[in-house]
Amino acid sequence: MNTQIILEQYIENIMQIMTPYGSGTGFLIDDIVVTNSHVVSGLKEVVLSAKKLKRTIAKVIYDDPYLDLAFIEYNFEKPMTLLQLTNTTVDDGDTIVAIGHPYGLNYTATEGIVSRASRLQDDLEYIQIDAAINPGNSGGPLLNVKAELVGVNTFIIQNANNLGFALPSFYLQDALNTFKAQKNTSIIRCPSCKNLIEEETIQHDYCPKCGVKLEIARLRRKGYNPTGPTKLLEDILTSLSINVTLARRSQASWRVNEGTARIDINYYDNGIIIGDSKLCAIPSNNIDTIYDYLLQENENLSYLQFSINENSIYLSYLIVDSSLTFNEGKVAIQRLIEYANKYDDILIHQYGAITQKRDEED
Amino acid sequence: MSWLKFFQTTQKNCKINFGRGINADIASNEEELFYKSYEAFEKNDIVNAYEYFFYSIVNYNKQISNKNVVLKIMDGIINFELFQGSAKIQGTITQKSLYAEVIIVRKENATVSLKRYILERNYQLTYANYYSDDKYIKLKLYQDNISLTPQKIFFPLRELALNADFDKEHIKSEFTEIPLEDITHLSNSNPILLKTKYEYINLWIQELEAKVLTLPSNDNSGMQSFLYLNILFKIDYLLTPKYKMFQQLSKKIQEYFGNEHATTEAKNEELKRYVLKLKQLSFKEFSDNFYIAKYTFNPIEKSSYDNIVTFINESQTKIRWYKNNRYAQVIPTIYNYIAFYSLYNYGMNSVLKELFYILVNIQNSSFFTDIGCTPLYNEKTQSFSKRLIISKIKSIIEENHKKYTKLTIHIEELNFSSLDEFCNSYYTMLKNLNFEEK
Repeated sequence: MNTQIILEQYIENIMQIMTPYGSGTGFLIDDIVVTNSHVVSGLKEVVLSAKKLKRTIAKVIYDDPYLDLAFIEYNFEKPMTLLQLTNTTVDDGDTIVAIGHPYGLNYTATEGIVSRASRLQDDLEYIQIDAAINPGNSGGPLLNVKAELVGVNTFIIQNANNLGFALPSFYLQDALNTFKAQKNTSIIRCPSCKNLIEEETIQHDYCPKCGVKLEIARLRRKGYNPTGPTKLLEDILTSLSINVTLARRSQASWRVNEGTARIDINYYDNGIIIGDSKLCAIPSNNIDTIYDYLLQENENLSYLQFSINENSIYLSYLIVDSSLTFNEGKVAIQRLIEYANKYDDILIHQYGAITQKRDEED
Repeated sequence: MSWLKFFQTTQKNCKINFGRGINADIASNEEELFYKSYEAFEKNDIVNAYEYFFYSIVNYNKQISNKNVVLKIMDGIINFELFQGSAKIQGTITQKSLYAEVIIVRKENATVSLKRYILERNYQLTYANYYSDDKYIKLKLYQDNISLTPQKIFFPLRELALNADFDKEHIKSEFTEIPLEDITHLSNSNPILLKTKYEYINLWIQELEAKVLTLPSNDNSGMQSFLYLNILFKIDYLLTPKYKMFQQLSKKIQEYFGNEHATTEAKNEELKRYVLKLKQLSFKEFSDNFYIAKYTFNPIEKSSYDNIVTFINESQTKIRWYKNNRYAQVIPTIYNYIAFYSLYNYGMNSVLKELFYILVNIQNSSFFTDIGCTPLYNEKTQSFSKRLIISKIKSIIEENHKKYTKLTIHIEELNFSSLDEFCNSYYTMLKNLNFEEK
């Protein structure tokens, strides 16, 4: 099977996993989404999206820092063709395909060969590959030419060329078997004694079996807690009935879709908060009329302003963090969301502006 | 009366401003006023808070207000005007908010390119934005008074003022057919002074061209750069053109330092072409680039003193290299260049600015003589007005001693044996100042 056919056939099994700290890849095996432990960043909940699954909050049911594996609960519609773990061994020189979302570029498939079928790192074996994998590929599937899962793309050597490493599927099979053998759905694997620990039995973050401090337990207990202006922004979004977990793109970035408009809110290191919506693009005709309209509207708008960057029209709200208050911020962001959609329609239908082309939503 | 006092009182009164910035003294109690404003905001005493704030940004010449801020307070409402070069900021403050705007051009005169330009500028601005009403295109600022501090007014007003001034100048330079509006506050430069400035720009270009011919035929790109950049920095500081000349001059300097791909030779060629353009300006074309205005905000961010010291050190190392390699002809230019470059690029405290001014006066004494300022050096006799120089330096130190208690200058280390030696010793003096505040 060539790479394109593999991607087309199995694309629905590929997930994107997002946390406030970054994003990675996952894939469906049976009724579980598999990814790396470092992708879920010690959180109990992550945001999941797939070809047929809009951004959804999902529960991390197993976190294994030893194998760098995590399992996420999947209660949604299953794909037509399901991925299977391979029964065959992997050999040096085998052709392989890595699928993932490197740097957020959705569903990127890269082909390569197995440079070394078994490369020891600490006491674990890894498959060394030369297929290009990058940040965002973590947790993604490594497939053979029969589209069988041979490994989980786990890490790369930074600043090197195409030195990628995948956890072989036999480790995953073992982990799935042991996890499924017990009925609890909040399991942490102790990286020291390797026992599966039920989360509720953990006290003060210590492993009840061997007594080691479990960092994952601490992170899961603490969860993600924004502070300062970030918290204020999330409070404002929540007050506008927006699910912040789903809207969150990173610790300081949120996205809201309203009608045809997409609104991005970013909090920058210099203390400036910019909420803006890249509306439509400038058309070929009546440009002067559009400019007049935007400048006139700027007279009446409060909190918001129209501007142009490159060839697109923006509606923006800018404020310095120290000036942001709940009430004013709420009015401004509510207005931005509402007006972005309204003005996008007006500019497209009355002034002939061009609808933005957008990549599918991550 | 001591002989020192005699020199101070008999010097001509040089009222000409040099370089960019407010070219004036800030209020002596500026910090206190700023703090009072802060306290009034804390108490929600809006009118007093704004009043103190505005008094803190008034600037002075010899303790007389420049009237760069005009306030009218009636029934708890403040109407104000601020001046920043070509921009006149008019605003109103109520208990709830501040609104300020600058009229830029008539709406009917705005071309599609101008509208595109200002809509793109909206994307870059943080607090202010462009809009149009029935008559004008304006830059506006709205701030509510919730959780205000003087800092939260200063930066938005500064953005409004600096950008309105910059954009009006840009429009005049780039969209020449569109007349600027609301510029009646600008006054014309003295025609005699303009004539002198015109003569000097041509003289400097002639001297530059003659100097270039003295350079070795190969391997002279570094020296050429010093010559061309020096004249641009010099024009900026001593002539202080506005509008197109300022815009183009800034662009050329920016391109020189910003273009990492072009060779030094290619960049010199570009500067040479621009200098040739300046040479071809008629007096009328030249004069169109000048006006007199009031300023409220400094366009250059304050630089650290250490940065200036580092730059002087690096430049002195270059001078030593040229000396060792027998390229003496470029050394006086580099001594000039250090001062002009620093004045163009670094936001300095008033002490450094005044000390640099003394050096520039010495290095360009005929120019200062011809514009009616007391020269500190005689080019013909190659002699210094040593006592006057020393008294000027001493009075700068004395005037600022309250603020910088550890500021001292070892005047005995200044070397008056030649202009080059003096410059070298003066830069060494500038590198050893203590600006620790009490």
